[in-house]
Amino acid sequence: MPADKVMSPAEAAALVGDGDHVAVQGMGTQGIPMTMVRELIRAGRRDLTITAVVGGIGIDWLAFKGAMSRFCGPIVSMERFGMCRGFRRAVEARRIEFDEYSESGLLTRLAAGARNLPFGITRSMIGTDLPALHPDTITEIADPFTGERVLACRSLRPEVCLLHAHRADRRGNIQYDGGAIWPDVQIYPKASGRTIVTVEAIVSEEVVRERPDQTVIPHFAVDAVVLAPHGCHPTSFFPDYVYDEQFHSSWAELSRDPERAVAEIDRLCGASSQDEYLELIGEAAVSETRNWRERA
Amino acid sequence: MTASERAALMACRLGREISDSDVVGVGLGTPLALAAALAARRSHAPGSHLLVAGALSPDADLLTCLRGAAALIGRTAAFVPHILTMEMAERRSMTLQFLRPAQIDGAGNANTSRISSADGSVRRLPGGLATADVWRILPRVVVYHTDHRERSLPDKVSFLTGAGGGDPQRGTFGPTRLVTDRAVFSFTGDGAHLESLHAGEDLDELHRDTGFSFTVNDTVITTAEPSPAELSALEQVDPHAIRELELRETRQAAAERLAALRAKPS
Repeated sequence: MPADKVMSPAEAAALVGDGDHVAVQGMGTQGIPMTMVRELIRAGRRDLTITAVVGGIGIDWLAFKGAMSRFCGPIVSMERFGMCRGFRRAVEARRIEFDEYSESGLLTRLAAGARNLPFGITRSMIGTDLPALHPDTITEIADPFTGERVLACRSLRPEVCLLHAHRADRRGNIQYDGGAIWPDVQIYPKASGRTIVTVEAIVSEEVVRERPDQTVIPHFAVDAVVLAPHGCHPTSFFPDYVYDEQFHSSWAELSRDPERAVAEIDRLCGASSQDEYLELIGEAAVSETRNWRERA
Repeated sequence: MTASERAALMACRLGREISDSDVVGVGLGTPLALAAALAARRSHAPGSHLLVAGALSPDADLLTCLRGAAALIGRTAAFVPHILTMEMAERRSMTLQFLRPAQIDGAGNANTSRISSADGSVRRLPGGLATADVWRILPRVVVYHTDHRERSLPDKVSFLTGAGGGDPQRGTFGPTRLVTDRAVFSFTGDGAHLESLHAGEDLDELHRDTGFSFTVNDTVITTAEPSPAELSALEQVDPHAIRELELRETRQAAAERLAALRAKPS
């Protein structure tokens, strides 16, 4: 019998240690594996370094709860819902270090990590103040063939990554519907030491075998599979549901007050299961983000 | 000019930067520029291509685009994976991007990272995402700012997230134009040049409220008013003027309109 990788959120959170570098899927209001973000908060993780291509509300919650001490990436923003206030406050108070790279700079480091190369190169960031922030990971070199100046970006290997996918079998073959439209899904599992994937559904291997072309991450590259229907809420998960606009708007307002913000995070992280969380946010929030077209 | 009229003028002026040969990238955090690009495709640049939320030239209005990729199913022929858009930028098959940095100076440098004060405190900004990338590798970047004052347009940005000037040896030019709520500038190798003043603006006041120095022609022209065709296209793509989220005076009212529309998507 092949290894069964299905586990509870709490068991998966035990694969993340205090001080780990955790790469978190998602771009702003899209595709953040919020079930595992809440679980790391529930587990009281501390001193995490978080990487995201566009950090959104999940980063804000980790910041408000003191779970992270460093952000390594290009931006933290909820797009039109504004800045993540808890994150901003923590950075300005120097409780969190913002280790800022450009998007290409971050992806170049991860791509080198994914290929087990010592470094990658980019034309990005030349002439800006960003390379000087990173004397240990960014340096200018000459193209050995043409002499063109480029930046060498040291490889990055996070200890663990958190992803969300459409479905998996119990062995951990991870499937996405259609093309995976986010850069992180393709790159994080290759660069990271451990891979934790929450999924909308767990299916039999027979179902997976009907569309093996949709298996984006094969089972041997996966450490944990966690069932989490609507697991990106309040962010979107293409093409199943859009982001929860009302939730984001309310959060943008509520997070002006740190006490209220922390109380709200505690309330939502108090849910001991995904089902309980979905009850907390209410059936309307789930159905409206899934079926918004029908309401037109 | 009312704030709403200024928002419409800015959107139309930004849209004029787009021609049929352009492949334009716009993010979801800049609805004013997104309205401009959607409207340009319905007026003077129907042959241009637009990448938004991964979707290629969606047949959708601004509100639908802002809901993200899932809302654009059925309205686009293709999603371009985000990582490929970066590769497109590298090989210059994306030609133009609109961005709104917190600060921009007369050399076309942008700051979207942090603003340091004399007392050592630091005001954190969201971060640059691909600013440092596209500033150097895209053929053309058009920047805008909706709050024209010295703090936004300093002599020199306090942190360089994007370096002006591009990489002329490779044929990229970085920011070529700056559209604000009061004026339009171009960036040349020699610095900033005033192209036009919006109606009702005074040149002396503009000098006072601009941190960087800029050259001026003997005769200062007024930014062309939006044409009926431009306004009609803008009305089609953004009938609820959600673009006004980006101006301080109109932000609250635009947010309330958006909230009211939440329950009935277009």
